[in-house]
Amino acid sequence: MRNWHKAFIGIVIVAAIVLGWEALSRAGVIAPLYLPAPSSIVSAYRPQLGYGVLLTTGRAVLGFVFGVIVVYVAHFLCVAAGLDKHLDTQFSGARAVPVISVLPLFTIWFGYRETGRLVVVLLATAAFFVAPVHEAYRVLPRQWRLLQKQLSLSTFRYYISVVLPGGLSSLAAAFRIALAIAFTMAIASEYVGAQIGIGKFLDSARITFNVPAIVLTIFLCSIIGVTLDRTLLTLYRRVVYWAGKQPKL
Amino acid sequence: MRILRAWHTFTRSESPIIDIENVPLDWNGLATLSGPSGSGKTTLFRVLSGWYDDDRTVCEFDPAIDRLRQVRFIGAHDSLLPWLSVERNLRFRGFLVEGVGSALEEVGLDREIRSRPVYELSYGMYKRIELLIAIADQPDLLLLDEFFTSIDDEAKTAIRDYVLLARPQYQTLVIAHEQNLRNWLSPVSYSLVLDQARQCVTGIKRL
Repeated sequence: MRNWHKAFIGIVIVAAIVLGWEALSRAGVIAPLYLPAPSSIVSAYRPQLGYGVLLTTGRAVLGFVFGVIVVYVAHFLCVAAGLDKHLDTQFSGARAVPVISVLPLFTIWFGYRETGRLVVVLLATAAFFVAPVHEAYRVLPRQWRLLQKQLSLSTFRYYISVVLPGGLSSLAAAFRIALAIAFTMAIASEYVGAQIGIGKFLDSARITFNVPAIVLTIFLCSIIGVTLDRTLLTLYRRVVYWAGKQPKL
Repeated sequence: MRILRAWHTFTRSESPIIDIENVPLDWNGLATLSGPSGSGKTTLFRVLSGWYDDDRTVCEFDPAIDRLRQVRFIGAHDSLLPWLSVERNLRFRGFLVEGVGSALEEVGLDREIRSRPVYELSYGMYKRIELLIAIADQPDLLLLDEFFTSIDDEAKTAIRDYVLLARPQYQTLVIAHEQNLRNWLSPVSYSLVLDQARQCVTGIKRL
């Protein structure tokens, strides 16, 4: 009962804000250039934005997944080659270079094809995910690190059986941040040469001074962002079920 | 077996906190080790078991042994893998599926816990699983750090008897603070020898 009561109050407050906002906009108190009326925001929707949302989200998720895989493969190869002690400097350098600065280069290399946009999202994900992965590896409990030699495990078996699951419990925040960056870069990559997507829609709205469309897209991006984050967190808690569980020692 | 040399410092600039030479480990079965709190008992166990592997540590046995394989240390840390159940932890450490149930019963545990996540186990259960794994590796030297605290008397007896039965020809050293517990565990008792400033472990002596 209390939850329904709280939800009802929440809905009333939001409705009051929206109605008040609409009234102030129609009365000319709020300039439409800075904050358009809610009705004009809603009417700014076009089907191409709906398709664009799906496509951009797909690019973000795909680039994020590939980026995570690339990080783990690269990290494993560095560990297997005994290069892990020198990785900190390389990772710091990777993060210092804004991935968006390579967009023009990728346009030259890949043209306006999907490959270039996916690689940008992948690289952005990897640049921000690799350091937490390496740090999780570095701070693995000593008693687990000893297992490789105690059990004569191959590097691959040790990495898959101990390092990967052992590090996962400290990577929730890293996953969430990497996904948020992937989504941001997916939008940014669509500014150059994309035919459809949130970025393309935003760029068109900018050119035509369509502020309601821009504000609508911002709202949609926040909804997508929250949905992606909640989905990721739910999946993470299901897969990494031992995270946060302490033995009674 | 003897400890030829055990040396350890926490930081390279400070004097060592473990500095032992030529100490015989001349017992079979169970022995206890005592010493003042903070004197270095756990650190000594870590040095002997290969916990530290950089230039701040030296440890040699005579005859020479592979410390990572022939010395096992069960301490206050959690060595079981939390993403695996009891059974899968045991199987990861070499137990056969058909042997898991009987192994659990040997240390007084119910077979039913085999499918439970290890983070749901009580302290006593957790430590007994670790002990099962350590003993199955048949190390020459088994080091148990305050293993028998926080365990009920019935479990204490079951564990002691299991260790004595499973390792009569090998050496097991248990850190135990209480005199009564030391007397009950074994007639063979050692204590740490500290330097004059009581900052460094310079040996262990049989009481």
